[in-house]
Amino acid sequence: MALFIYLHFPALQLDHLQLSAESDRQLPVALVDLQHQLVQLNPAAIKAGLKQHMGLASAAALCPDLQLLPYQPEQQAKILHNVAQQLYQVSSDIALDKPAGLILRLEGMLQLYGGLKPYWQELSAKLSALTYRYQYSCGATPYAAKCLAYQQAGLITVDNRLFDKALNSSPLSATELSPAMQQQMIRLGIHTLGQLQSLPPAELARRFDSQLLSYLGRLRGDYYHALEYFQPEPGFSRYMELLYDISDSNVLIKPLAKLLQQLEQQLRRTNCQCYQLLLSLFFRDNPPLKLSIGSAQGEYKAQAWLALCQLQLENLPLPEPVYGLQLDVNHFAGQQHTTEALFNQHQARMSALQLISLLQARLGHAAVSGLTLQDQHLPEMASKRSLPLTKGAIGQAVLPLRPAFLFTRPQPLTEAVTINQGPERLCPDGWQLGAQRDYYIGRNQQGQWLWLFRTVSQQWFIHGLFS
Amino acid sequence: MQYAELFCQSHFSFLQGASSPQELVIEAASLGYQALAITDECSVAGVVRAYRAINEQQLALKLIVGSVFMLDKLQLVLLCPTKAAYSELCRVITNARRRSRKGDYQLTEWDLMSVKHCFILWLPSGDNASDQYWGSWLTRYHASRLWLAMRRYLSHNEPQFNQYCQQLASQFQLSQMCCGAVLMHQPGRLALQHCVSAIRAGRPVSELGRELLSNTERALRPLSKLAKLFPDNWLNETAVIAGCCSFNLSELKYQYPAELVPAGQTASSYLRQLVVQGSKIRFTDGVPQRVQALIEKELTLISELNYEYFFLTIYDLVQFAQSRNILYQGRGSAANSVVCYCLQITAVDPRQIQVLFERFLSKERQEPPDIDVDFEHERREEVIQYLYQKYGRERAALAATVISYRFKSALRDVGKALGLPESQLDFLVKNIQRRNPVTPWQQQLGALGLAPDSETTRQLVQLVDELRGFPRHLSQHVGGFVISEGPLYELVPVENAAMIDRTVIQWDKDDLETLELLKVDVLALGMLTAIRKCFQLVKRHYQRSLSIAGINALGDDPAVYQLIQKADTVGLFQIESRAQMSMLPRLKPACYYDLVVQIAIVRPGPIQGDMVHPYLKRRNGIEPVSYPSKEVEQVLSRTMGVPIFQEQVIALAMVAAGFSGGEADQLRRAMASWKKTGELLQFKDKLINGMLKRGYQQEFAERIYQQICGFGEYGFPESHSASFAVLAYISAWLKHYYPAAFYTALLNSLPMGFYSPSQLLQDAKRHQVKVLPVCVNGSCRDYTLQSEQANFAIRLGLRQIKGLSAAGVERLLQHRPAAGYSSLSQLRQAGLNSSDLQALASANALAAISGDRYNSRWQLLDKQQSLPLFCAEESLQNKPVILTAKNIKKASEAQEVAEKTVQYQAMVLPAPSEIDEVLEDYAATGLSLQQHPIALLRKAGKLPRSIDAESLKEVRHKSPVRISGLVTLRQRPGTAAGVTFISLEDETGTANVVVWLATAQAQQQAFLTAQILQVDGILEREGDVTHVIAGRLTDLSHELAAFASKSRDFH
Repeated sequence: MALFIYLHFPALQLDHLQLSAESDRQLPVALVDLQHQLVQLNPAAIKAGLKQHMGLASAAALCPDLQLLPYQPEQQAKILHNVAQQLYQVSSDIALDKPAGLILRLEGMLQLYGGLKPYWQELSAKLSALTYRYQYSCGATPYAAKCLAYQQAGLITVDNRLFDKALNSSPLSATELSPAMQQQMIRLGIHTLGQLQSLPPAELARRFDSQLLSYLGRLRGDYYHALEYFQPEPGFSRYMELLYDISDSNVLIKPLAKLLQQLEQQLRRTNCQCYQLLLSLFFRDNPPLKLSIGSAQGEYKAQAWLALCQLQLENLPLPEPVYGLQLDVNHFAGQQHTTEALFNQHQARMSALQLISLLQARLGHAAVSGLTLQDQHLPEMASKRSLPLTKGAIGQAVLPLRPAFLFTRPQPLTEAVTINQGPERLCPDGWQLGAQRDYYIGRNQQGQWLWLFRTVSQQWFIHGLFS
Repeated sequence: MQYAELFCQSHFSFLQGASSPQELVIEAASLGYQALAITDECSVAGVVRAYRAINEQQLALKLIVGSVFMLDKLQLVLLCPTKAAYSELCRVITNARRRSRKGDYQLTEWDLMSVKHCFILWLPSGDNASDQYWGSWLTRYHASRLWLAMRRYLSHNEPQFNQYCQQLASQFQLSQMCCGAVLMHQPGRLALQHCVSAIRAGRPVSELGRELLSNTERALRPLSKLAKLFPDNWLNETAVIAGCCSFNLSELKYQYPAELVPAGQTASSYLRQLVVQGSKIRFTDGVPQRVQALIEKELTLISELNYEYFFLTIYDLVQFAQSRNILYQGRGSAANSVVCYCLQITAVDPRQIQVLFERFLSKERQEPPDIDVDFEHERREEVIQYLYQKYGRERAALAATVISYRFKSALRDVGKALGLPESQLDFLVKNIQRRNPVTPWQQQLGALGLAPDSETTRQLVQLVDELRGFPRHLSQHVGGFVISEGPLYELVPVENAAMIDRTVIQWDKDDLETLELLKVDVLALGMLTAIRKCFQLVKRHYQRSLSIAGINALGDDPAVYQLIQKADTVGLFQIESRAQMSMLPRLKPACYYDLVVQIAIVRPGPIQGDMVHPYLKRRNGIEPVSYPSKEVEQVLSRTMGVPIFQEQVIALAMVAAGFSGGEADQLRRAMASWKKTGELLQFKDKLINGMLKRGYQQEFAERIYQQICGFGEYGFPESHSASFAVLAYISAWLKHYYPAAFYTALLNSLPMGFYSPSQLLQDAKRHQVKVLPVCVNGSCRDYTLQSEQANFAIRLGLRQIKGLSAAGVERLLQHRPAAGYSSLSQLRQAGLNSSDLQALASANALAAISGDRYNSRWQLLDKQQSLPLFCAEESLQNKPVILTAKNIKKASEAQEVAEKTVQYQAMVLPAPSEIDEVLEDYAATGLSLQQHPIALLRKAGKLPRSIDAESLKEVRHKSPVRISGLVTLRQRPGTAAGVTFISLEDETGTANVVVWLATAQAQQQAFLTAQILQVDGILEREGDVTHVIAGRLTDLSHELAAFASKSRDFH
């Protein structure tokens, strides 16, 4: 006999968010969809009397200190995927039922684990470790299990009579019928699955479309319910116990090179590259140290990765000797070949992206940035440091006449100048009229072209130099 | 040095200008400008306000009317030197506006070519091709009235741009002048200007970057600064141009349509003739001498003030309504005159109340005559169409209403401009309680998640306060018509309203008043519809002809007043609200004038002025009637020395605080627009000091001021109350003598009034009127009276069924056989579609043919029965059939199906339970004639120890009590701080629950969301008024989880 377990995660995205933010758990938090309805609630919010599908206004009235966050279906899908990935270690046939459910087929598993009970023990241990709230139930078909899980039936059994009894008293709201269809049924006085199933199929066929019959068929197991089972993602995860403890970070390069070789082999096999490595160093007393090493261009060569790792390890102080290394790569990406001419002069040099990776590895991410133009009146805001190699929003053509060199801090004017052009008055912030400045272009005795301004209190400053 | 600012936009250039016309003229005058032109974009909506400010404050500043236009890259300002130029400008604006949707305009080259009188200031764009084209075009057509306007904003490329303009000037040989292109009256408005620019662009300020103004140079600038920026000859040129402008808005006069007066008569003689004719109808026993004297006095005053045409216009209007049998009633100060009574504009008999007629028109109060005419709400459109037909669209248009930023809209828009997320703004808007007496809204922000001392919060608070009262767009006035002899567009621009075929002028009622132009108010009133329908029912079923004047002539009927005193006033006009009902047993109105007072007293004005209790005490003889002075006695004698009406308060300001007529009129206007502008504060000191100086008590003066503020929120003059009292009495009379007809008429006039059909029908049942359910064979579209054992019962109308289409109703009635429908297929044949049939089934209207609603639906769902069998049958019957192979096949198929259908017997579903029936009744029709849901719950034992509303009468004062009911109303009146009234309905009636703020806050969930509520509290009784003061609130909604009846919340 077929047996399935359905796992329903009522607040996956929210639970995931709360994992990372320890302190907020006492505060009521809810996720809101685009229709301004609450879709996921944390326990504190439920305690405050909030319910799913409640409107924003009544929620706010009930619970004034409610924190709201947007519901993000893509995010939720990712988390669900991760959950599946985790459970895959315990159970093999897992089908995703977006947005919040997993269907687990048990046939093979029962043999493997020697019965439902041990299997469930293993599975529920894994689930509790994930700390997401979940509802579950077994069922003879995927839909039956789902319907029961929605009602938090929690049936872990193989007894068909129990399933039937629970299903017959199930409200239609726990089924897959569309809300319109449920409404239609209620308006015929039909409130439970039992009532619905007692109607002769011929009578139903006269009145309802095939969807209803197909659902009932699958629920009962009369029709085959095709499931698409989850395929775990390729990735790389290796742990290496060192032969002896290493206290010099430079010495770590050698064992690391081995791991990177293994990675390169796997990448080559799949014709992939990767953008980020996660390197964990394990100590006897201290918590493991986690490093993330990135390559903006994407790499597969162990040599290249080693160079990048070396740059970061070079000046890394170790709190105590390392006894183990773990290398993880979560995502493989297809290789992108940059086509280059055979005799291209730059062949030997590195690309801009490679250079940035190198600089970032050496100097830290924050130290490398580009410069972009901003659509702002104030000179100090007219340009901004941004991610390397990004382009600004505006082009050169619409720019007013501005000096090439701008002082970080305007310098007081101490010499005689001749004013050539101006004033241009800038006071773009309506809240600080006192910060108004009149800009002039002037020339000093040495013949330098200066960009000067005068404040409201008649003080003069040099703000930049024209080239 | 002389300077005139000739290009200045006020906030009537919506979301561009950041100052009001008033602020602009006051600032310009104080800076010593010679003249200021208000030149809003394709609009003159702001000029009258500027004009009024100049007159009221006696500013030494010339106002020039003008407007700025954009046409592709061309920007120019038109100024009006003469009246002819003004008419021309109005025409150009009208043409440009009428071409576009509401709020937009579309100027054409032809409009500009036709300009013959206006001065033109050209503002080059900097785009050479466009400037070359327009430069030569403008010089070709308008060389003698054309200037090139030079600007200095101190922007980065200004020297080059001005050089370029110089070149253009010499190329086209144009005179140059300078202007400020002003958008704000002071530099301090820059933040607000940025904010409105962001609202206009639909993006936050922070994203606008260099699209924002870069400095404050678009403000009105001091002359000394202008002298540094511009050469003298340009500055002088502005003064020269301003000197040539002689047009003043006071020249505008309204020419009334002449066709109202027959040839050979003057307006005055014709009006007199009509009054004489009318007096014979109104006073069948001859006109009493006192009344005759009044008529003479009124007619003299009317002709002195030249108001004959105004009265004639309204006379013409009501004549039309009479000829069409449309019920109407005039109200307003001028309406309560003998002249209006004779002209049949109003039915308030001067013999019933003499006091009113002393205050008809008054010269010293300088207020324009005020007559509003209410018509049946379902038929007002006929009257409007009559006006359009009679005077044409060129001569009749609606006055505008300036839609201004209110608190919520301002908060939302400013919030968006400051980049706050929309969901957060939704949250703020919904949760800020503006009426919270303890915490002002600014402080509530902190509790709602905005950091109280952050920069953004501070900016939000300031900008919201500044933006409130700013005009947002023009909308149509509810019914204020302007009618003129010539085309209106020579007087004021006309633009399109949102409604198709409606046009509005660019001025609102205050502007019209300022210029002393009269408007005619054509308003809609639901109760008039109900009364007319009731008259018709009484005539058809009881063979008695009724009219408003006829019922009035019967005199005050004690039986009717008894009903009113018992507060049995559900469905009555004006006295049906909860507040009114609780006041009626205390005030015990016993005659017409008592009703006038009753209607006016339960209003924010008297309540905030704390005038209710003194009046009650004096009326019940607990407190002696006394007056602080002889003059005050004159004003207050008819209300026992307590000021109740708006007119009395204004008269008090004159009599007791020494206001002049003009000042009193300003006070009246300030009251009308208090909510928008907060203008009342300026009168406070003058009022209180004036009264103290004349020997009145400080406390009395303060209360009068509070009352004025209350009126500002909802002004209610005696003249309106007097007209409303007539209708209140008529509705009470009908309810007393013809209850079945009265409820039927009321139900057929919904939506109107306070009560839902369900509540009205329950009230009907309490008055022993039988109500029959809706039925596919028994009901008409509307509610009807059906004779039932020597009496009349109300039959529910099909209109009550939710989701039943109008077309479906029509087909159902059109094809209904004399004996009624006997099967579903007959109904299908009549052409009812499936959603109509579903709606009928849901309302249980099919019970006569297909059983209860479950089984009706079950049969309706059957696809094989609704196959095109009958279409096929029909086509066989109607068309000559050509026997082709295909046809034969089709026919035989149909035959087969038909046979099958006959054999088939649908299985029968179990019938709905009692409670399901009731729930479905509510869902489908909003009411149930079966058991009340509360009665069902009670029967099921779900309401232990709850007593019903009827039994509350037997509970002693101050004893604990538990009641349960449907929440039909949650009301938080602005006048009662922190209190919410909840009405709980059960099978016996309605119980009134009072919830104090603290109680509500402690039990928010039940308080806010319960549809069925159980209240444990203390009963309090004052006279005949009973309340339950809530202690514990319990939500019982889950007991009837799917309950569909929604309560009216917080209105």
